[in-house]
Amino acid sequence: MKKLTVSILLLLSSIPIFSCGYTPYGEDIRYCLLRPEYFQFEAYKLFYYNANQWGLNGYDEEKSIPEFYESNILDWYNFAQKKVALSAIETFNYQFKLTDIHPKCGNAFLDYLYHNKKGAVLQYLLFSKKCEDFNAQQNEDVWERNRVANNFKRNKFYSQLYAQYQKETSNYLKRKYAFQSIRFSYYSGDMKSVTALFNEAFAHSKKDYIYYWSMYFTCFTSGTDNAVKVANLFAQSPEKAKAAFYYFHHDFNFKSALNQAHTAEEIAAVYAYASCQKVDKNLDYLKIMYANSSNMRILDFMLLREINKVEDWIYTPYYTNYLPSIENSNYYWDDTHDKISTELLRSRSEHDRLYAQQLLDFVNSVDFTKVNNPVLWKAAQIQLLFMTRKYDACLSAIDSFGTKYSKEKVFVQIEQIKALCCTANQSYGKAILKDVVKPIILRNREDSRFVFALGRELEFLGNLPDAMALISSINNRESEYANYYYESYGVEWQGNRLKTTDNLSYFYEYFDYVDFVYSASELQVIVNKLNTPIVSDFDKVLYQYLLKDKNYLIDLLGTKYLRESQLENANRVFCSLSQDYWDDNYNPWERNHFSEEMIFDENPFYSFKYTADFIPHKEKFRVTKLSVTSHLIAYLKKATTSNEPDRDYYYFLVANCFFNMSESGNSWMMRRYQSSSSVFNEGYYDVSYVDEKEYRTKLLAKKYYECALNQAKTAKFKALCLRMIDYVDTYDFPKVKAAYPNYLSDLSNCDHLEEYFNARR
Amino acid sequence: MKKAGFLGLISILLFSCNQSDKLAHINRAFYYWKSDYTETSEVAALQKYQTHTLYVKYFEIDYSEAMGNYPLDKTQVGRYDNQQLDSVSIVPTIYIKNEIFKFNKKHDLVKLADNIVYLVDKYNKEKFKNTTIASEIQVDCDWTKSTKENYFYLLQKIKELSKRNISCTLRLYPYKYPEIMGTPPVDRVMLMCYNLVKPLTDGNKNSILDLKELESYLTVKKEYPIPMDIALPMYSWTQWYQNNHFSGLLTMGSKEIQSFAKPIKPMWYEVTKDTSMNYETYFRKGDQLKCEEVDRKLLLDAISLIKKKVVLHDECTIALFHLDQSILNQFTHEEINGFYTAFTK
Repeated sequence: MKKLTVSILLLLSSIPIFSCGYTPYGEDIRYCLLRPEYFQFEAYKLFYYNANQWGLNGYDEEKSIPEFYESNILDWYNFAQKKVALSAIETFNYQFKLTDIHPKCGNAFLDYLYHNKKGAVLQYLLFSKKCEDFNAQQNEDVWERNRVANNFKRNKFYSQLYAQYQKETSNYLKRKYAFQSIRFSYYSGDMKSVTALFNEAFAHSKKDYIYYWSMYFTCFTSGTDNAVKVANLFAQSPEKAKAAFYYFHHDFNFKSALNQAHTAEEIAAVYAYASCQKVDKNLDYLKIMYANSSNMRILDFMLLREINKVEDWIYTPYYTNYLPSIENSNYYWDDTHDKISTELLRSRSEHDRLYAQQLLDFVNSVDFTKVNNPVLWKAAQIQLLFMTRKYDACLSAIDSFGTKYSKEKVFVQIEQIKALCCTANQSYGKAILKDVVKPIILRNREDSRFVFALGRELEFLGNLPDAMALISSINNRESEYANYYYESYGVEWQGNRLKTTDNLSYFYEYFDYVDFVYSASELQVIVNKLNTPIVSDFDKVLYQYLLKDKNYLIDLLGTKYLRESQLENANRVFCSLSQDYWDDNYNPWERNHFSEEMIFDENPFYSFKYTADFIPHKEKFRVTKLSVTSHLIAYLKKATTSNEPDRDYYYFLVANCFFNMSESGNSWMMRRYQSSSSVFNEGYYDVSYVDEKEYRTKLLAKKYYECALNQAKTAKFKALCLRMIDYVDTYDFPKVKAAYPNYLSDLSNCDHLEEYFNARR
Repeated sequence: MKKAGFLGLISILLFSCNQSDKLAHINRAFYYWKSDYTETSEVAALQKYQTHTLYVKYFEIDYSEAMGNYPLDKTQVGRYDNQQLDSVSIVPTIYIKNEIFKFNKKHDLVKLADNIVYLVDKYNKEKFKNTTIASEIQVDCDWTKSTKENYFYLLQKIKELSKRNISCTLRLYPYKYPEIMGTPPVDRVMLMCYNLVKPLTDGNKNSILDLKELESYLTVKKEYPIPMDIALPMYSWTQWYQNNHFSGLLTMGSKEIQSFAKPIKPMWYEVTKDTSMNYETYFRKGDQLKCEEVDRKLLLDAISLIKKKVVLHDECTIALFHLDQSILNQFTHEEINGFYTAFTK
């Protein structure tokens, strides 16, 4: 129970801004720039590195990964001399039934066969459709009431199928008949025939897709070399990779598989199978696979998977301040003992960059002429050069890549790395968006994760204006390129105000991030930039969202100065906003994007929430951040002027205002853009907003009520000041009770406040 | 001069002869004055009574020192039920508290007009997205002689900024005395034939609708310079007094209170036993209740008087105040239908 309470408190403390309790995780936060989609590994999509890989049916299935054509479809496509569309063959294969096969069916594939008088093929296709019906029948007769009759029919059909296999003279069709016979035997439960047929038809056959598809059924028999078969199936037959994993990974014995492997290729396949869901470092296995069979496509895939893994380890913490997506220990309900701080995340990220170096060393040692897809290896090399901060070498590799492979899909991502590399390769305080980077940004504005990463690189190097300009364009509801935070490719990130704390609030909009993390002087730099002419076409695009929000950012800047008790600066900044801004915001006319609660509906100097007015409104003015700040300065000045006769009055008003600018006041909007009641302990104050302690505990209100008390001339007004000091902390009134017990009854409620206030003189 | 006088007399005679009390056709309307969602039965009533116009109060406007002019009591209608409101045309209606004009100078009123138009447009788009919106905004305000200049200025500004027709409500006093109260710069007026007496001021009069009071404003048949529509009350309320002090306004009618109160004079009842209602109101023996109700006869008499004394034109709007199931329940279908058809008979 104690643990639960602590967990809840920690959970709450992690989300000071968003009280709904949602926190993104897994694929929401995983950083990935080298996407598997660039390399046509769709058949292996279940083995992509992702945060949901503990099940084969992760959320990834919902992502729109391009479909691919299976080997049998491609086989028929080649048979038809590429004259029939792949889609027509696929339609026939997966949607047509036995009775659909006739000359007038309208399917281009069948039309081709009829037109070219491919009678033997058509006969095979009739058999294959009959096989499908029989194979499905096993599932339909679940109560086994028709088993005898069905078996009779099955046996009769199998005799015909087998006879056809035997008499077929075309090797092309004979192998297909063999496959159908093996599959039919498997569904009939006749494992002996499966083995026998496979040995008869495929023992000395070439190892193409139909070989592996047939071999797949033999893996269910009690063969002595099943482990290596499964590995071969996984490595060599992408369509069967899922089944090879799903049915056999629980009983897979790595050592047995290695013992059963006779060739270098088989050894590589065994290592590939062992790698397919490995979540830790896999470099050693990659090296062995390369040493044994450098040209296998599965090696390319495993390298890509490793790059995605290292991207998650390095980029996810570095750019988003989250632990790598695959680790779940950053969630408080997991009872972690780790104190997750920016420093820790950075140090882990740096540690993982060392692994990236090892991986780079391996890739550098590889002979790219011997691998299946050198484009992937070179792209991986570029990624690793960037990850290891070898910026000059990285840029040189990118140039050389561009001369050869600029038409490749992955070139988009190589350009992004170039932009990141050019930007990161600058010293702190001098970083800019170089001209070479600008067109890349314009071409990739829809890629939120790239734009965000680039923004963060600039932020780390101290160029806040350009950084926030970039980050303001992501997840922006008004952006035509919006990828909202709840969509797969949006960005959510954590940020903390102090580097060494574990208070990581999460963000999906730049404004909230700037609000929480940056100081007034830092935001001033951004506002200064917005106040200079933005003339170039690129800058107009880059700064469009910040410029749109300029007034809100100026408001935020004034608010930050106020939080930092720099009242004159706050006033100066608020003054720079036009009257229209104050007319259009913080009221119920719904012209702004603030929530409906953010309305200045009472004067903080004279009124309190839930309390009838007891102070005459000597000065009447519309309540805005500007008017409150300017009056606060004026009243403070009067209160601190020694010859001012009403110093107690002005101190009292000032105290009221500070009270009302707290979480309990009517003008909390002076300090916050969202507010909720606090459940946080004192330790929290130093890691939240800079004025969090003041916002929660109203120390300044107390201080100025005490000043009013010191200047007060009458007992009743002194008692009222004490009552307000008490009221800051509690609804009991211990100080009044101690000093003015006779007044306690009057001051315990609101009915006599006016009388005590008027008794000031 | 003589000729002119003669022509004038002729025209008066012609005018009188041509003016029939009976209208060929009227536009049926309801007001929707509640801020919360419409009930299904209320929406059904619109179709049942072939009502084509619904005046929906979008919001009210008040003034505060801290905020200046501000909207309140914003409508919730439309966000979830606008699919059902597709049979009627919505007229955005704004209630403005007359007292705000004390605090506003002309340049403030330009901003206020701008805000009103902005919020009306916003709600048209957001809350009544799939509904027909009339090209009209109606403003309801009990303007006085001292506020008319500012009020009329505001109406002009709303018209200029919205580029729509503007209508406003017209109490009987400004109807009768346009030379004192002015003629508002609007396209139509809605003559409000109710609330003629200030509630609580005259214990013997029905403050919702008192025929004699109505008659006193409709002494001469005349045509108001602006095309006119008519609003009639259907609602009732009960004033609750304890020790002769007003304690609250209740929506219950005489039928409901007769179980615990006895009639003492027209409209007045005295509580005969301590009674708690809906866990909210506790009537004590001796409390007095004034039930102000509008029944079929009273309303038909009022209509008859209006027809005789007010110049109306075909296609004018007859609006019933207001669409609320508890109010509809107090009348039969034929009665409500009859309030509309009485103008065309």
